[in-house]
Amino acid sequence: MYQSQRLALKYFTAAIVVFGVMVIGGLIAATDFVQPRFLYPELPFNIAKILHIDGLIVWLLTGFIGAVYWFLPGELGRETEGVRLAEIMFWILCAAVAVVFAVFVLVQYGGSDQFAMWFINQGRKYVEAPRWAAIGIVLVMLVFAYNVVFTAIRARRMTGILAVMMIDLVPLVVLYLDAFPVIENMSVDLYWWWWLVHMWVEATWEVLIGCIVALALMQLLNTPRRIVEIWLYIEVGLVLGTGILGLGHHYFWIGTPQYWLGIGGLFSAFEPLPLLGMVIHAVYDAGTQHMKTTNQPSLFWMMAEAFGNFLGGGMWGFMMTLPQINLYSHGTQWTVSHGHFAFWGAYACGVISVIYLALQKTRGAEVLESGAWKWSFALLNIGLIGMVGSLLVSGMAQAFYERAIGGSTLQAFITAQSSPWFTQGMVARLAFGVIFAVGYVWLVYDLLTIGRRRVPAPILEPA
Amino acid sequence: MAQTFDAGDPAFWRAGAISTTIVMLIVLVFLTIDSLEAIRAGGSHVPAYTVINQDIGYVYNLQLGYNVPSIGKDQPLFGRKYTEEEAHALIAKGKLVIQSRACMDCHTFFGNGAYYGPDLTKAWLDPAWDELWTPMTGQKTREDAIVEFLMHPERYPTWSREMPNLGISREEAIALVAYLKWMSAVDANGFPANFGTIQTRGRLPPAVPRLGAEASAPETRTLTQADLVAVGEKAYVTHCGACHQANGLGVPGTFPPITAGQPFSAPESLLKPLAERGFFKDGKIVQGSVKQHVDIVLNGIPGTPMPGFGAQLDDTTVAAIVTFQRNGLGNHTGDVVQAADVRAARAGRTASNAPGSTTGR
Repeated sequence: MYQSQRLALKYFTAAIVVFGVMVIGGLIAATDFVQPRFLYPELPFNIAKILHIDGLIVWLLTGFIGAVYWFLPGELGRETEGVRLAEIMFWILCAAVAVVFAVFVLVQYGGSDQFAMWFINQGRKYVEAPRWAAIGIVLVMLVFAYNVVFTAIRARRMTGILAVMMIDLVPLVVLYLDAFPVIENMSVDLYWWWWLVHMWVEATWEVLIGCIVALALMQLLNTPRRIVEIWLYIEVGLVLGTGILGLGHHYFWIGTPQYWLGIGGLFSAFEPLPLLGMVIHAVYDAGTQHMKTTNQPSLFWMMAEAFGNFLGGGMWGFMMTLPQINLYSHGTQWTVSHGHFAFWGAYACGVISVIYLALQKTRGAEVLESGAWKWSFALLNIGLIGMVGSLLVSGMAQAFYERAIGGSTLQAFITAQSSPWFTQGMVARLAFGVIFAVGYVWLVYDLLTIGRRRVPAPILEPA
Repeated sequence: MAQTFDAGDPAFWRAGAISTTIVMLIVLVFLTIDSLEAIRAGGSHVPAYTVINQDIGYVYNLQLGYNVPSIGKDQPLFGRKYTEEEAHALIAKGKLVIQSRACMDCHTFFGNGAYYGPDLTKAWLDPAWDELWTPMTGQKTREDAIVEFLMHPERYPTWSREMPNLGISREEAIALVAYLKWMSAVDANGFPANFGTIQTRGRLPPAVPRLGAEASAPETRTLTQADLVAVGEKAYVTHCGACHQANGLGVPGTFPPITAGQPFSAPESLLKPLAERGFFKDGKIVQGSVKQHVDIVLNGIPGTPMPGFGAQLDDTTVAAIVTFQRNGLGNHTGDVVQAADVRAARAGRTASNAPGSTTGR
């Protein structure tokens, strides 16, 4: 086993721990909607929400880095360059994340000065982390990018998947630099902020996870490299071909010119296409293997990734992306429904799938099997889909009462939030959130135990 | 049939991916250059920061088919006119307050942010400031009411979800007000749609003629209890329901129930004036006199979040609300309050110059 892969396991561990922080933040925020006095005023909603969404970003990013460190030596046939430096960066990352979360909970916010921006809370959604920590994240990503590139140079080898990934590392680092400025003009601020949120999360990450899925499929289902690469290029072409101008669906209402309504609407209507391609690809590959693999948990999570990405990212996004609908659905729980489904399907399932793949090799299990993974798979997915459905009911009620009928005033807001459809949806969301949290506990248990005991060799037809 | 084409060759698809991406990026660069020009302060879609010195509206544009901001005549903010540098500094300060207090993790700006608090895109234009906050905070202007609220949100609980006290200073609150005013003048392609229309609808049902603030002549007829209750119920939901709740049960610890017999516990500063007016006894809400009831609705209870509604509601609506509160929401007093009673209450108060007017805070 390569050092790089040992390091990957550390990154995976950190990812799953921060996943837990995200679940706790989410449970608190969901409870606030049902019982506003919960932990108030000691822990107001916005702090719980920051833990939830920043935890999300951190655990997925950590999972991606781990996945790349896992696959890289195998792909190039040599140890990763600078793995020691990467290990140091790992501990810096862990310390920084712990300090930032502690400051969020204990200090929460500062005054309207640069000190608060540097050391407490930057207050821009998703990138609330103070600047010193944001610099740390940039450093971690720079070391990561350096290692990937120099490992390939030293190995004097290059594969199509790695080439895509290396090019993708450029925007991964550059776009994150947008986490720093304070721009007083809200329209300009949001214009660039969406380059970070849409271009980083929805395009750069989508390409990165495409590379990771491609590497995983070759191991999981022995899919030939040529097929995987063709699909990767098709997906990248479609993701960027539709997604770059699909950015326009975030420019409908922030003060930008009217032409974004047409451009954003048209291109984002095409955005489900690459995700549909991913479903076809995964189902086709699994079908050729008759769903037979020595790692059922990884395969199931990979299937959840494909379908979740298409349904959550593609269909749920398409449902609200045309400007005529978005005028009313924008900024409601409808968006939240899409956000949960998309992040889960597009990224979370993929990271979990890769972790199972890594565990099989680490623990030397010929067949990776347990009872617990099925429970956690079922509970997490039922919990998530339940939340998505509940949020959709609440969000549609909000779109009708607050946006369409009420006109988005304070009174309209209160009327919508008091509507039984809305409040019942919020209660249901909390209930499914609890189911999800139980599934998380099962997942942690399973990741700790699966493959440690010898399972009798399976009766498989010879490959 | 091209001889050289091979769909199974990854290089073909790679070339496609690269060329598509490059074309899209080039288009994006041009659109970005154009958009940034449109959204700079003073550009075609975003006003200069000095717009805070002017009256701002949000009017329907027939050609476009949606609402656009209207910039009107001079309207001083906090009683003064800001120079270009002052306005810019104020807006920059306001943005820092917004970021440092993580406003966007409860509220939305242009619909972006979190969904726990109301959208702030057109918050400056929200009718609630004039209808509820100005009387509730005892301030004379909308901007002063917003400042008072932002500095002490816990004194003016707006709903079951409260805004926490974020340690906002007066200077910071003033900067926030300027920010909200500037932002309300940004042309956001019609978002939010129909802003504010809920305030002009359903205040009074058309079945009862000559009612409402629009009626110019004073109401002289004697209305039936059923009519008053019907009108009062709608008005109650609009003007009272946000705090006392549509079911009349209030919010424990903050907003007293309207239903007599309901238990209620709250700080002494709230219970004492309630008991003095005869609406609270032995841990429960009790039914006080009609006279006191009308007085509370007209003039509020100074020192508590209860605002006076005398300035914004006409006699008939006040009479209808009181009649509904005494004959609905679980109360059955049989009392009927007419517009003439409210008129008399207003006259009596002016004559005796009773203490506790809404501006006494």
